[in-house]
Amino acid sequence: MFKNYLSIIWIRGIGALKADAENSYLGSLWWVLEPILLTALFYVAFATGLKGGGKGSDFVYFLICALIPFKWTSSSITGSSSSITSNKGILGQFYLPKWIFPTAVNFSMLLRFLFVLPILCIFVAMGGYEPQVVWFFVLPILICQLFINLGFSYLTAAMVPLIPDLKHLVSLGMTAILFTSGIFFDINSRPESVQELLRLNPFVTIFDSYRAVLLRGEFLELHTLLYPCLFAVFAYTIGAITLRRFDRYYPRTLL
Amino acid sequence: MSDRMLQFENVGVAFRRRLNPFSKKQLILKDLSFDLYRGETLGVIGRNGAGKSTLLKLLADIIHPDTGKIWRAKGLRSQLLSLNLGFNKNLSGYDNTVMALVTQGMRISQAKSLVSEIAEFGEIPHLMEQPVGTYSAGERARLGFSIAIRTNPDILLLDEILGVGDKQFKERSSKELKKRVNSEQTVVLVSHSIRTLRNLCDRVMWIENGRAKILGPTKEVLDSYSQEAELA
Repeated sequence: MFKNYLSIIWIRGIGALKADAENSYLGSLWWVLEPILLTALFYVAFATGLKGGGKGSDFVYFLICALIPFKWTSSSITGSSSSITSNKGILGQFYLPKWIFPTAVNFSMLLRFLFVLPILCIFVAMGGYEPQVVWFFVLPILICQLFINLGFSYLTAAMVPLIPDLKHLVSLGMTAILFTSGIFFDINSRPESVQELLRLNPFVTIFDSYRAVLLRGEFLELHTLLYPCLFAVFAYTIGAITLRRFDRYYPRTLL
Repeated sequence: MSDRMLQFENVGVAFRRRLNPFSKKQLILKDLSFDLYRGETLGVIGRNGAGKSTLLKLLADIIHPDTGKIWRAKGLRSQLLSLNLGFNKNLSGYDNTVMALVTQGMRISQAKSLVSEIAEFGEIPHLMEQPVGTYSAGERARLGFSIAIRTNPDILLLDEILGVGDKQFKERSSKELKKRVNSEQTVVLVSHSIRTLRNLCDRVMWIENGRAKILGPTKEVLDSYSQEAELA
């Protein structure tokens, strides 16, 4: 049974990627293009303001190291939040445990990120940041981010069909993450008290860790990822319990 | 007909028609009790809104009842036959077929090996590499039916008998379906067509006001149903 569920996640995850690549002229090129355009946009909007802080052209690399991971998180969570509703055709025919759907979304978004990540690394390397052994620390950061994506995905997938109003909050939440996670400002340059507050947001640590490793070449102390991981476990647990509790109830909301 | 697969005991289901949590719940099924036996074809008849579709959802184990109990034999798998398999319009017929078969419980390798057979049955092998979004409605129905008929649940649930596509394929598909219904397959068939039920069912249940008004041999139930329909 469980093996069949894994097959379903595999085949639906790959299918979603294929479909995504087919539904526009530029197809999978958009996976790279979208974060690049977003980076360009933020660069134009904020570079002048930050140049005074002595950042200069480094700001592009500073931005993109956080924006690409941010896009991963935001598409995983947004996609998951509607994953049960958008599969009502299947859910009206036979029983499937509902956790399959957000998991499949996360699987396909993970593959997409794994496709974009090497491109990011090459781009950063070409910008004069020499590849080093510490770059392998991207791996634990990635795993930690996957956990937290899954946690929030389960949570939104579980809640949105029950309270449809929340879908407005999901996109608002993504904007909130975009603006409070230190994507276009350096968290470390803020006053201590502000930093403390901002670091409650687990994505601050994630995005800053990517930069620490790729741009600053720092050795990553793994315990910094503990807080985001705990956050992930918490969100995941609530999400999973809700999905289980309302497993046979969701189809009723889809009629 | 002694091997019981499933038993409904005073089953009730209530829905809210609006999201407002203070809106009144409406009882769709109130007090439904019946048994289903291995290999039989049970017909279900009743007016619109009598709760037939809700009954199918309970049988498919998609939803749980609000009151009463449903007992089912261990490991029982039931499935509603439907052409709405959630096709992805950007994916090819081939990909959609594999995806649908795996979602229905098949192994990936098994699903892949079945694709050509399915295409043959639907007479659309030339379309399998094309995106489903470019199919005509009839072609999509052919693919949908050819996949759906492959499913092999313990209990097959049918909402109306499905003959799909142009005249020729309609005959072929409903013949195939009748063959399934008349086999050892356990079937629950919901239909408004008295003729269909008369031809295919061993027993018929007439649902009214959320209860089984009569449950018995096909002829008996259908005779009184058509009598009342004439009176009304």
